[in-house]
Amino acid sequence: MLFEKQPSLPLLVCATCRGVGQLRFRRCPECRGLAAVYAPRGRLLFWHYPLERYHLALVGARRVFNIVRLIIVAVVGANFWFWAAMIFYRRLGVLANVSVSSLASALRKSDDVSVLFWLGLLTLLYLVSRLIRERQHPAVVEPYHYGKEREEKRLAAESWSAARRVPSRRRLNIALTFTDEARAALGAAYRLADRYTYNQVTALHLIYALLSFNRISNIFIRLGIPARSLAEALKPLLSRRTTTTGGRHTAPIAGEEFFQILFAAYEEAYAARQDYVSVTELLVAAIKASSEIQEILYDLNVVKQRLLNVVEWARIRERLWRQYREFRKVARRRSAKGMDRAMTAVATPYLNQFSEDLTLLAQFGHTEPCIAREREIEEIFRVVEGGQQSVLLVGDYGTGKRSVIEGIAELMVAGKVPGRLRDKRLVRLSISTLLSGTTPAGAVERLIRIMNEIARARNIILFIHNLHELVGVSAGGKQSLDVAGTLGEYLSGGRWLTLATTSTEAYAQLIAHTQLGTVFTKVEIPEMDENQAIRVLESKVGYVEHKHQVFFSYDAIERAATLARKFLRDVTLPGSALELMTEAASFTRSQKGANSLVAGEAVAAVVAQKTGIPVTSVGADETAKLLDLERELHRRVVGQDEAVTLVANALRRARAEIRSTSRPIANFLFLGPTGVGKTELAKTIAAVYFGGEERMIRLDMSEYQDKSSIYRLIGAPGEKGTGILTEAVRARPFALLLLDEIEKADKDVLNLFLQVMDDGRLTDSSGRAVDFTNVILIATSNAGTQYVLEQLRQGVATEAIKEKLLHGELAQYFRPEWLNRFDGIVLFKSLSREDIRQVAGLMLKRLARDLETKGIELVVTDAALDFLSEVGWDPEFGARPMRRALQEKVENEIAALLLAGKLKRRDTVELGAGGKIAVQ
Amino acid sequence: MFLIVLERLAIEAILDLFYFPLWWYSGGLNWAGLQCLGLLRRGNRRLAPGLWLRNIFVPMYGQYDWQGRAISIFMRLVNVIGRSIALLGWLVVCWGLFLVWLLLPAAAILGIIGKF
Repeated sequence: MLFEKQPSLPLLVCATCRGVGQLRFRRCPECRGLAAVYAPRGRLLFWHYPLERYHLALVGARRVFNIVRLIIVAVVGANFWFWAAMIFYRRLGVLANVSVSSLASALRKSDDVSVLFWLGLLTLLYLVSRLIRERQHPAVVEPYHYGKEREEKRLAAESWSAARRVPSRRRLNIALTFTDEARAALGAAYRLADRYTYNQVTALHLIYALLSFNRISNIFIRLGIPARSLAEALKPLLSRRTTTTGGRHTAPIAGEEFFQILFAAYEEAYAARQDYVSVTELLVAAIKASSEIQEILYDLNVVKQRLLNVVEWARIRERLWRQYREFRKVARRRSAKGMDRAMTAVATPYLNQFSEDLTLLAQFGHTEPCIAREREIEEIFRVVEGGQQSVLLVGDYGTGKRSVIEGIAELMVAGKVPGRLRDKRLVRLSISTLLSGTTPAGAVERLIRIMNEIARARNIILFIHNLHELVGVSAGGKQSLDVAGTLGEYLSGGRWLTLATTSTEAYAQLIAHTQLGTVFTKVEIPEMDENQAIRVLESKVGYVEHKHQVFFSYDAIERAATLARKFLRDVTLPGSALELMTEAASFTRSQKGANSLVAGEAVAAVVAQKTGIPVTSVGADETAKLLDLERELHRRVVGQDEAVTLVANALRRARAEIRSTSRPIANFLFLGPTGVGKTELAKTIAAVYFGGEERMIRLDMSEYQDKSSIYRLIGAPGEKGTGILTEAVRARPFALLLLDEIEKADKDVLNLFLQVMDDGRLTDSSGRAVDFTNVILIATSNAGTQYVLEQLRQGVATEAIKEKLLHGELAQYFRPEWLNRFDGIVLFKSLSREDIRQVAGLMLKRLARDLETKGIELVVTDAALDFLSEVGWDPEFGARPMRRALQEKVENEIAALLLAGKLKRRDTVELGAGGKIAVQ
Repeated sequence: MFLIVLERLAIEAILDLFYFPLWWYSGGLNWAGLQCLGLLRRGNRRLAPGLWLRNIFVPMYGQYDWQGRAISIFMRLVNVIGRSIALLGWLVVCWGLFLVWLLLPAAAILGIIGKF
């Protein structure tokens, strides 16, 4: 997606002073220094920062002069005091003995000293005033208004007379909201336009100037483009000089186009709720304004969303840093002794043995900020404010339940929580410490003591991580009270607030509908979507970068989120993506060394290593292999061109990622008599594309002939990890699934595959969805073989046979909607005598390879092949008779020769006419 | 260009010297006032006599027996008084600082004039 062109803002640029705001050294009489105005939201925004040579030179000189002035003033002030002290000391020295009275008389005599002293003081006060004034930022971007537009009188800025009438409280000079850096960038852009003899400053100059700023070059590095190479790409545009008029160079001015950029940058900052307009906003506005630059960026794979996301990333980092500093300031004021400010709390020495204080950890900076969970935290606070005593966070492993709790701990330290949580301690009960070294009865006793202490302390918010671990720890027989029961009893009293977490599965099995379940209000923590996960990664990437001494490109972060979601289904986002990010960092560090950039490909390579799924971009070797896939497959499969072409096309589509990602890569049904190569083709695909025959999941469907066999495929109800099919695919999501002799399976088992073929997923008995979208499903069947052979014997064309087979013969085995799910149904042809001859050749090659390991060479003559195809051909049984013939006529003989010692290393065996074997 | 800029800077520097007292008693006064107020707020947050007063009948350290309550009320009263006095002292300090801001330049000018 290209950038959309910025809709132009209704600006009014003064024609008299041409947007400078002054004529020579006087204020412009027309605009009165407003230069350019825009009136949104009932305010008059104007630009007063003359972009012309004199003013920019003045600004630059003023910056240097201010520093010089500070130094001079400081030196002068210090001098006054130094001389005052010197004179006073000398005068004191003249008086013989120093006493109080002599000191007083010295002071009385020293008019000059006190004058010097007061002058020094005055000078230093001036220094103070300068320092304070220079540190004050003159203006900020107006605060963002949520929801509907404010009901303010709209200001009209159609004419200068109207603009001049706007009262000053409604005016804002947006130039004052630009950071020093942003203003420096504007100056650099102007000087660039001047140097290249342009008559107007344009977006191109601004972008080129921006590239020299650290913050901007960092953004492009994150996008995988060094700023220098982008500058090289832009340079030819600079020297084209299209705006010079009349061939004469005058000082450039900021035209209407440039003012559009300045005001758009302000609007950008306003929409992003920034306080100031920084170089990043200028960059976004400048790019939006120039289609030429967009084209260049598009060629470099920088599209709108990616750029905006990286800009947002930079903002997140700044915001986190700002929040962190504020947090540290507040945290310092909090008591570290677990006491509330009013000293109404009670110390909890016993509880402390079995717990850790999360608020204390947060106070000393040992927790990580919680990102992109504002909605969930708000929901928890709503429940708490609603008067509920206990909240249970339910979510799968890796969704970040603990991180939500740590986020709450930080908010508690900062005091940004509902009243019931303010000035309290969030204490995590350690279940392992509670249960260790004691019997369940002992644990119950400990728990009771802890609960009593919490009740007395009155400032404890209890947190139990993995609540389900307490369930089932029983003090006696089956019916007796267990630890969870005790907890439930105390919690139902509602004397303090409890937060707890558990997994979705454990909640359903162990907690819902129990006493514990009724005590808690459930708050779901759903898996993050990709954008939320990207935000989390962006917030945590700094730590990983620091640890591994590498830099992440935006591409790497984005792919970590998307690939983790797609291929690492066992752990949920953002946990899986974080894991991937860390591994990609150490992978890059080990491959390229320190200070290198982690690219998206590195993340893909890690995923490929973990899952075996080829997700990296296709290399040259692989391209050649894919384009020539048919020949590769034909090395092992004789004939069956239709099937081979069908499969090869499916694989190419899959690798080029032009396929539906919500279905398996392909679903094929191979029909045909026995021994014609159905299974062999499947094995060949596994070897060629999936990297080995062991990557094939093979199920003999004759073993699944009754209804109960469904549970063998997906697992027995309530027992995790017992499904043969689901577990195999979970372990190897990228594989070939071969369902042999499918017609023998029970009808309900077949129905199971309807869903697999349609949605690419299957839910196992424990409720977990298994992903089948990276699987090639191949079913083979002998159904209707007799019919096919008969028809073939009668000389009916294959197409006609297939047509009749699908509409007649197969109906007794498969329902039409089931057959309809396949991408291709291929009828394997019987092997001709010539085919069989080739098969013999292939089989003998395999034998030759085996003999070669023994140092024996095998030579096969044409006559021998003729003979074998004579003996081993049977159109009804395909290639299997050939295997038998080969065994009887060749392998048996060679084995006998070997055992008798007549065949030694370096011998050559020649297979001649009639299957004769000669040793040379 | 260089000379024009230099001239302008020189004029600005001289004007700034005259602007200094003006700023000191307008924008600067505002700034100093806000700083002192901030200082006072921070002191109040730290000493918090109001919070102690609000909790005057709440026993300290969860001692709910009557002896505990009695001691607690007494201690809290002492605390409230002590903290209030401390805060009052702090208020005086804040005002003092503000007065220093107000009087220092005037004192300097008077000091210089007085010697002639």
